[in-house]
Amino acid sequence: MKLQDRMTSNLREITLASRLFLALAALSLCVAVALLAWYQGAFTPTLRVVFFAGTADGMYQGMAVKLVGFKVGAVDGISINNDLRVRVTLKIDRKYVPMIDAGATIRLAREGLIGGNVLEIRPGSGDAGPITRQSILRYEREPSIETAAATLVDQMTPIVINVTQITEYFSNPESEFRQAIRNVNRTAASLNEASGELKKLIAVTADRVDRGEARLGAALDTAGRLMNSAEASVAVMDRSLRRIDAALPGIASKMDESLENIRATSETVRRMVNGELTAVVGETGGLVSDSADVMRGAKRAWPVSGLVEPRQELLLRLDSGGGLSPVPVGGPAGR
Amino acid sequence: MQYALLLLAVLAVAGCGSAPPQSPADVRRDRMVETGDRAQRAVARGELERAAMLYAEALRQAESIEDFGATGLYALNLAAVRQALGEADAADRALAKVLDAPRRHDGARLAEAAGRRAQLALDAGRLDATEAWLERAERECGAPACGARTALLGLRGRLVLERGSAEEARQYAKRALDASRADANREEEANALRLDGRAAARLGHAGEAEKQLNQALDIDKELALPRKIAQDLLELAEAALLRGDRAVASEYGDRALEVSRAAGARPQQEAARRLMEKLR
Repeated sequence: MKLQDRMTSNLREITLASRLFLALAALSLCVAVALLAWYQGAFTPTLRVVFFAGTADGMYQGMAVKLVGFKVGAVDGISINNDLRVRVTLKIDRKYVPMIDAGATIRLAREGLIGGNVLEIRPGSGDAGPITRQSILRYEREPSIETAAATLVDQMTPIVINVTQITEYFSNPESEFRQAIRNVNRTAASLNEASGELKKLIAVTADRVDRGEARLGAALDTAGRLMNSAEASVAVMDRSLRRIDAALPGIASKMDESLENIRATSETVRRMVNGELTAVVGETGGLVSDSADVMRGAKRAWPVSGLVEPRQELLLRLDSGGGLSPVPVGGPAGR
Repeated sequence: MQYALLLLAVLAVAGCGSAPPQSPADVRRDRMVETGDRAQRAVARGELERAAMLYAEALRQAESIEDFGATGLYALNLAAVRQALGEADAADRALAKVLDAPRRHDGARLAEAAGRRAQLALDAGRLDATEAWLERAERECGAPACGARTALLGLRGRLVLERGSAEEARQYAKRALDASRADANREEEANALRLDGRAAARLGHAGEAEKQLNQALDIDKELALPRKIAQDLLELAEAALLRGDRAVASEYGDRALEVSRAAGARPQQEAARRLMEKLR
């Protein structure tokens, strides 16, 4: 009887203990869920605003929304409208609401060169007042390096085409320019010939005038013919030059166009180099430097420090054969 | 109680696992040493241009914190790499950082720097300058800190050989060989054998020269030193030429050209080309 009482009492104790344990476990689970929910912002008062985008590429639910580098909210939902526009709903932490005006712009940006995408809020002029429930914000995509490169290619294409056209025009033997130049060359050659003949004739004429010869009339006739021929040549040359003159404005305009394109392109390149690329390179540099710092810290931390060999400075010692053989530096070497 | 102990243990491990704090000065020094390490790795990979760039940066960092020890070290390393690249003027400028400030560096560093300047002068055929710098290096090189003694012996042997005393050069080579074996310095052992081989060739002992040079080649191959292998092959070609065997000389020349081309060793590549032109 006594044994039965003891057993009953023990069983009661075990039951009580197991119930207590279960209650504690359930309580812990509830606390954990509550903590997780709190961490996820379930108890944070929020405000929902909307923006429309052309594509949902790079966006996902839960994605961070940042204002001057601070996380102020997250993407609450992404849906598609009948007109194929993407509607994105943002959940903004209420305490940041006064800092965001209804004229603000949402921008899809990348965190560093290899970082993930974030939505960045760019403050507006402030005239529209703070955002309210279901405010519709403006959206823009950050121009990527690929876009910049594509723009550059687009701008370069007409330049290349123009240069090709000009080169073809000048090198084409049938072009008016080449024909005109040929004519000018031919005419200049015949003028040169005529000038020689004329010089000879004048010399002969002067000689004969001096001698009072009767054949002077015939000589003057010949001179007249030559003068006529020269006049014809000059007329041809004049025509050719006129044609060149007519063609030149077209060429000049094409050159002007090309130069303007080159100027615009160089401006794009300058902007890329001064702005976008510098930022990318700067961020990469920071990333590399941060990674190096992290690695340095990890190497010095236990237990990794025990696995990493202590640093040993090496000297490329003098080698009579001109080789490069490193040896550990022993002791202080500076005075 | 057990949970409390476990929690304490976890906290203790986390405490041990955290990196000790570093002062900005430590961070600067760490960065400098790291740049030096990267340069060293570049040397090991045979990327000498990159190594030179990194040593120059490490030198700049050392100078910016007036760390004379590191300045001397990186200046010497930079000079060694520049010399290997065939950029004698740049190597000389790096050495000036040590030699122009003798009060900041100890004897061992000064001996290294003077020895390297002597080597540059010897390569350029300026024998009087070689003599002067070699004397200074020998003066500064005091035991036991100075590890350049054997190299200086080898350089003295090379100078003597250039001055035409092949017999004396062989004596220096013998001393250098003994010293290198005593120090277990395989690179200098091969250098001494190469010097001996060259001196023997100058004396007309082609067979002996080839024997010594082949030993040097074996060591250099074992140590995988491409520039030295190319040098050995060039010397072997000269020795074969001395025997009048143009075919063998040409084969050695081809091998030297191939090795120096693969290693990107410009001076040896040019020497091999000159030899091949001579053989045509």
